[in-house]
Amino acid sequence: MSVVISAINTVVGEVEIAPQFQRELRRADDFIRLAVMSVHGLAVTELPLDDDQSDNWGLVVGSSFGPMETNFVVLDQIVKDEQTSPTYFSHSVFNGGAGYLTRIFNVRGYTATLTDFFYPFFQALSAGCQAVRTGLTKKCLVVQVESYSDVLHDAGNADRQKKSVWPMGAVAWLLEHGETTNQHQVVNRIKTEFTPSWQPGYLNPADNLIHNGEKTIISHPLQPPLMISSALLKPERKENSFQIQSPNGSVELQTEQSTT
Amino acid sequence: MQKTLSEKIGISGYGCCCGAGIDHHSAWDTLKQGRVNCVMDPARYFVPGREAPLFLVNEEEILDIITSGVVPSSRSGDCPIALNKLNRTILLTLAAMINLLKTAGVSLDSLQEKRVGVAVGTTVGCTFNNEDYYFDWKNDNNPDPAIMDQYLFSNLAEVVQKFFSLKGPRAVVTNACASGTDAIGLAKSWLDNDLCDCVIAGGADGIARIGCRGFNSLMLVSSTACRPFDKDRNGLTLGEGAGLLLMEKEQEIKKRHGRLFGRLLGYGSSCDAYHPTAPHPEGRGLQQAIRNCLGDCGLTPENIGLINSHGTGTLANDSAETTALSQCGFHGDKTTVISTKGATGHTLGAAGGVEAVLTLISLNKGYSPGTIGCRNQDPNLPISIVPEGERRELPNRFGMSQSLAFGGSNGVVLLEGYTG
Repeated sequence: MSVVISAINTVVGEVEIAPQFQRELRRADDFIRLAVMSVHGLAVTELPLDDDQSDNWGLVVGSSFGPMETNFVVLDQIVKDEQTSPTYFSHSVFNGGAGYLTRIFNVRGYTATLTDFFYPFFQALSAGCQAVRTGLTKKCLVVQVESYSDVLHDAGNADRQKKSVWPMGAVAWLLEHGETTNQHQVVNRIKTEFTPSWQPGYLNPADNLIHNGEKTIISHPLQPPLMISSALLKPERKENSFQIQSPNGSVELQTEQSTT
Repeated sequence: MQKTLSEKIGISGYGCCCGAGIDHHSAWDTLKQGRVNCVMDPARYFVPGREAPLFLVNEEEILDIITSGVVPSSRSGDCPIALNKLNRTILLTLAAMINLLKTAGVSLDSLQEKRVGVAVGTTVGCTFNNEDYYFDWKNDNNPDPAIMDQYLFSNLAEVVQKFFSLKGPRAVVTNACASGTDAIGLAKSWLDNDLCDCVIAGGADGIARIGCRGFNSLMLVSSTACRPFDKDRNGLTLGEGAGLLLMEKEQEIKKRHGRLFGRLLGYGSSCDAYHPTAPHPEGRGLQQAIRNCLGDCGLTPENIGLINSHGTGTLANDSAETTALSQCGFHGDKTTVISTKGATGHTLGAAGGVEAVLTLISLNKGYSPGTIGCRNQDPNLPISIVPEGERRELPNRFGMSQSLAFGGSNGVVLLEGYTG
């Protein structure tokens, strides 16, 4: 059974909150806001889901650094021996974004948050494809969110020759069975291989993204799914091949334009 | 539909390390004898003036296990960070992994010939919570870059791959307190889809001030040792630990004449979509996860002999969980329902791993100890729980271990014991 990518959306930088979410997101941090607005921007008419559909939809979120800024807000309260804010604490948990997504869009099926410094979008995509292929869910949202923090940027810049600030953002895809309508791209292959290293260099990546033979140097963790999303939204070829080459492993993604 | 032998997932090893015991033997003894090993907050994990117990693991004992030679010195010697500088979650994971390798009786060399998946759940273990680094950064005091390197080194699945030179798929599942159970479920899908030959799966979490103070802020922490399902329960007791299973296709275990401890028959997951930190009052998502799990292996509530519940001891959890079980058709007089958290504490992301190990041991022993701390069950709960001090013979070898979490996550695994 084939899995298709039926909707794609990306958001980068500060996001404007759509009016219908302003109350729900009034206390949310950037991590949660980016997650919600990336899925909202998919413009999928079924969302939020009716109750009779909600068990059939799944969600897999990937993130390298999670809600790091909120984590430091809580840590700040701890080093000052202040009472911890329950809201900040609950938002500092890595699946806080998934919790908001499931509530706002009424997704009640398989849900997972996966965390890895090595391109977690593709682990989430792989898990999402498996979930759809095996019938665990009929449709699955796959999202990567990164909001980073000043602490991380300062650490990275201490290590880099050229100072930079990684742009926060989110990428959202919707996966579903190949038989359904509204097809976009078929996922023919997704494979991640790891080469564990004692010196992984995650703050200063020297990795390559190769798209149909054309190489781009990757400068931040969200860049590959952003670039691939852009390429799939305006495909120049029917078949697309993406590879990430890194000392820490490799990713292969092959897609094909649906014929229906 | 009954799966063939080649498709069945066998459990060929397991290990754990938690406040109840440094390995699965001592943890089971603690549970069986009804001992409570928690201590009152020894290092000011909570805010000043707040006293609450914790289930902790002695760090020296963990380091002894890790340096006892089971992890070849050449491998641990490659690690650029001294063992005693690794965070507690990593140390607990390594200790549980060593316990697992001993139980399984497999050599590291034999694992290196295979595609070995690593799926580990955690909550605290993936966060950067070094207070010294943050304090120095905040005060422009040039924080020690070695601490940031340690954080970037700390992805649990990657750490296991590095220490034991394993190659295969990996994932760190961060579904809060359901992480360990969901990691086992993800690992099952890898085996079902032939992404690896065998897989190490479970959960791990070390105690940290961020977790203690966070749960305290939600007024979920009991000032005495937790009492799951008791009428006087008033919250959870935090703990730390790690629990891991080694799983592979049953046929492969038989082919290499390995020992079979049980089977992973089913997995179910669902989300409440209800509240950031509280479960749905009727355990809506848990009910769906249970049904998905039973449906995954074609069993019914009548087939299940044991349920190792999430059973944290909070008012909301215990009520939602027993309501969900009742709604799914379980009866306490037919199915043994217990919680092991009175012996381990709530080990957050480790809970699903530690509890899967204890469930499997119980299924293989053919009985379950009662729920430590549950002396007088809350009469408002719709399922009867095996209380402290009682022991219940199990009618069969099928058992479920279930987890509920922040964000509304619910995960359930169904295990079959095997002692043949």
